[in-house]
Amino acid sequence: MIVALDIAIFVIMLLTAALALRVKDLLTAVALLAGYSLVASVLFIGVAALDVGLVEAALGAGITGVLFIAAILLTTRRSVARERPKQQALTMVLIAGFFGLMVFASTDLPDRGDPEAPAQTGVSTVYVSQSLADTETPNVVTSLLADYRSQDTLGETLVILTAALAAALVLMRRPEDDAVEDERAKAAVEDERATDAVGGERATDAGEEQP
Amino acid sequence: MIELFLDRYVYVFVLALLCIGLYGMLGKGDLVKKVIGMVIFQTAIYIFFIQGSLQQDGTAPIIDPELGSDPSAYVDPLPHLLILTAIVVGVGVLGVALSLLVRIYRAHGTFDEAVVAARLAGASEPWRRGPAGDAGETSARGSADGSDDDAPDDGSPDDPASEA
Amino acid sequence: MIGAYPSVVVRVVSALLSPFILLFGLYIIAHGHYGPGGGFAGGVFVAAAVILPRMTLDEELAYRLAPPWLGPAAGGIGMLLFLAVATVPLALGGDFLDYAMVEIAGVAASRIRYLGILVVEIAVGIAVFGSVVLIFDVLTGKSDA
Repeated sequence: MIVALDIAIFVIMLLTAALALRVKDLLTAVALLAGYSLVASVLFIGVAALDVGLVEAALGAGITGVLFIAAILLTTRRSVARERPKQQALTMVLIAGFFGLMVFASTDLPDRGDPEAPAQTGVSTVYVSQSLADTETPNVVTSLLADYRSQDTLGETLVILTAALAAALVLMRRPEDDAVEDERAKAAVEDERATDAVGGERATDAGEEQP
Repeated sequence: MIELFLDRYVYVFVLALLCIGLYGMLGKGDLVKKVIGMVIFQTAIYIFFIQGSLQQDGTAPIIDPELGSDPSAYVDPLPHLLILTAIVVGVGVLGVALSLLVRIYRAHGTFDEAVVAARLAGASEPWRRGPAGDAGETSARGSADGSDDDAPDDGSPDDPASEA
Repeated sequence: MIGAYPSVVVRVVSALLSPFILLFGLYIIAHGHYGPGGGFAGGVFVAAAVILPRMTLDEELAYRLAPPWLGPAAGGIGMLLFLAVATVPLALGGDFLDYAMVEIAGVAASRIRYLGILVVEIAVGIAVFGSVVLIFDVLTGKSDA
């Protein structure tokens, strides 16, 4: 953990996050998002969270990007965000309030790396000192995952399987829906064109970016 | 001042990332950008948790024969486990969100939140609106106006007028 | 999903890389006791090895390598394996998921917990692999589910 490197990584994360929300081309946004997750995984490795870094690099930077790209290729890569000043102002007020509250709350948090922090003196000391004797497993995260807290893992596995099945149910096509949906989508695309024609320069600009 | 910053800079950066993610979820009109904001927010939460597990001079929680089983020599493994599973569940959430997006695009042909909300709240069966063109544009305005009463997230009633 | 990628370099490299990613994923699952890794990370790597050909190779070839029913089947099998391991100690009079209750002559209790962790990691790996592949397949519209 080198402070200068840490700060550099955080600055890169801020830049990629802000740019990912700003660019008009959605594929560019997803590429930036994958970079954001990859840099986050470097940060995890830097604070000795090897398992988390590995999973974040594989899932956050890999599979997340793949799923986004699959969805975008199926739909459109053009972002259609139109500016709505009143809503933006309201959002900014909300976020400022959130930031203020969180800064206020964070004053009670322990300093970075404090060995006396409550989290460091709790139950995990038992896990670390007992893992090798109890389970012959040097990697404490694995013995926690599959032995000490395996009910937690059982629940999480059930959750991701349920999420996959839910995605399948959401996208399931019933034959009788097809005709209606196709007609609807066609009408929608035509509408979109009509709106774009009068919808100001923003939408037209975004449209021209598409190759 | 420098000391305080060195002890606390992680919280500052994590809060900034949380705010960026929140802005993406609340302030962006594009539904894909909302999901991107959600991913940014989630990752910031992971960083917050993992930084809490850090212990000065601690090494990775894999028992090293030279260091023995002394808990003070290792970082806290419990947050690692929680975040490990949270990342996997996050991808499950993302899969459901993306499939909803694909479904929405199939039905409405756009990712613009205001348009989708107007269609859902406005005229029934908006896709049977007839040929596009002037008629289509007028009825789009009509449905957007009709949605203002019961769509609180559509913040500005005079929205279509300001765009045109 | 998008058919064969136009560039031959991409097709050949991804076809060559895919089995090694698979091998690395299996290694990660098996090596979770001694280093970083385990079921979640390994399952994701195995899923990546299946998804990579789907994105770059010819559709027919990619789905012959790993048919679309693989996702839901693996997800279900992994989950059932996990539940079966969890209920074995219950059947022998112990607590749910308490592998140390299972007694095998000549094997220490800690060793049985070690083996229990291995089986759970494999089950989690299969389930995560199935779930990720299923999500990808339904998004690209190629799933039977």
